[in-house]
Amino acid sequence: MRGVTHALLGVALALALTACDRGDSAYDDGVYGPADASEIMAASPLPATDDCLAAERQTLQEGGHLLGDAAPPVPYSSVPPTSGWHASGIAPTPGTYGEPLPEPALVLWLETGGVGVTYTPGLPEAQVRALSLLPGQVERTVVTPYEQAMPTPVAMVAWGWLQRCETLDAAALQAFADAYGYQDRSD
Amino acid sequence: MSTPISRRSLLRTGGGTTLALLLAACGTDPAPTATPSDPFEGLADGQSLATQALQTAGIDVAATLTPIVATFEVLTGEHGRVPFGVLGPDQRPILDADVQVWVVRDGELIEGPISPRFYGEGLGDRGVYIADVQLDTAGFHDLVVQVDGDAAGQAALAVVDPADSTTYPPGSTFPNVVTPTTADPGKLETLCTQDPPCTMHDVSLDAVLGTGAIVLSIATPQFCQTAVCGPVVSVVEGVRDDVAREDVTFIHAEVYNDAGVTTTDAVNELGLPSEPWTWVIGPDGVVVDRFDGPVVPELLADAIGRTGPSS
Repeated sequence: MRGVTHALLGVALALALTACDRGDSAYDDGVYGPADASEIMAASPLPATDDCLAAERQTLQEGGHLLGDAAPPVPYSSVPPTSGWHASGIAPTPGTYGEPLPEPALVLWLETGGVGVTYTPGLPEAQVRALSLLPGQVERTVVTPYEQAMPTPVAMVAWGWLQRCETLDAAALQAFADAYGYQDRSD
Repeated sequence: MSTPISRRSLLRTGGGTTLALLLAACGTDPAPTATPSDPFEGLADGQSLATQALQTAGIDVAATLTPIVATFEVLTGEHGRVPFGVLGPDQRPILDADVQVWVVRDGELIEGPISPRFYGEGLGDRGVYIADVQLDTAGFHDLVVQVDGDAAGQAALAVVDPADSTTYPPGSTFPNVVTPTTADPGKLETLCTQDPPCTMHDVSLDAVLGTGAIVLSIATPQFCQTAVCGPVVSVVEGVRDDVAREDVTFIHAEVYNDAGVTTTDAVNELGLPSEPWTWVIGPDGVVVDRFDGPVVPELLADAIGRTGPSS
């Protein structure tokens, strides 16, 4: 199914580029990541639902590897971050985190193709419990409280993509993960 | 060495899909990305900030390119060097193109246009643009990049005074740290994670500092395999072979003692916030040049040449 999706996305991107007729010889056949990573970045945004705004492609940042608890040298392009400077070494393991996962660790997780769910610490306990079940329902998911103020209580993040929600269920997260996750960006 | 630059307020961004940007560039309305009750309405977003930076540089197009700034910090003064790559709207690298860059800050044009040089030789199928800048003021700046006088993009730069640099800048005296060697790997589980291992572990830095020119590279090939940092060790090793300077000692030190968890004593003593880093140190122990991120063979060889003539 995902292969079909990727093929359709690739066709859409090719059509868009053809329509623009850039003709830039400088564009190279190589990519900085897996071939279909560029397709993921060119994917269409998931539409808004009763609980979530439409998914948004974020200003993509590349970045080096941070050591220890070093902060990124420049701000991330979104809250929560979806790309940019990230932790070095071992990526976080999927699951539910009781304490906020540091942003560089979260971005490292996204770089490896994982998806993240962040929530404001003031979320009602029942909702936190429901979110904590998501890693058991959707592969390669981390759920973490997030210290920065967010416009909505919950957000889903993947490499380069963000979707903000009032509440979140496994079906919505699975749709987000299928659309934008599961692509290892670390080359 | 000093306090790292503090983070400025985080940006809120509404984003916009790459496809939407492509379509917008073609004159088609992008798909709506938010409901009418969008809580972000009116907030500054990353795309508009990028557009503002482009306009400050005199470029009247939407930001559709992604510059990849490959350095932790840019120094003010004569040692300002910005290595970067550029991704097109399709996220593919734009190599060896006609590129111009500007540096802007808070709506003011600081420097530019500058024509960066593209370096590809010795870097496999990748490459990096280098823009030499001379900035007077520390703080966040925006790098504006335009390709072929058309498509453009923006990326943030962290600019610091050399005196406030996170680690040892040109002109500073390098500390006498111990680096693991073949004879004494110290706490390292693996002396060199390059495959095959490099041959730059014969001596410890503290044994040769102040006795001759040194090239020190701190990088971990195993845990940083991006286009930027992955090749650093092999690039340095290749330059060693090319320059064939018996009076220059080349040293590679790993970043981690183990499988990517505990940083080495050398990394801790140098206070490195990131990796990779490469220094060229003169016979007097003073840093001649440093490479924060990627290493360009030609520039490294040039820096080695500035350590003095071969004896």
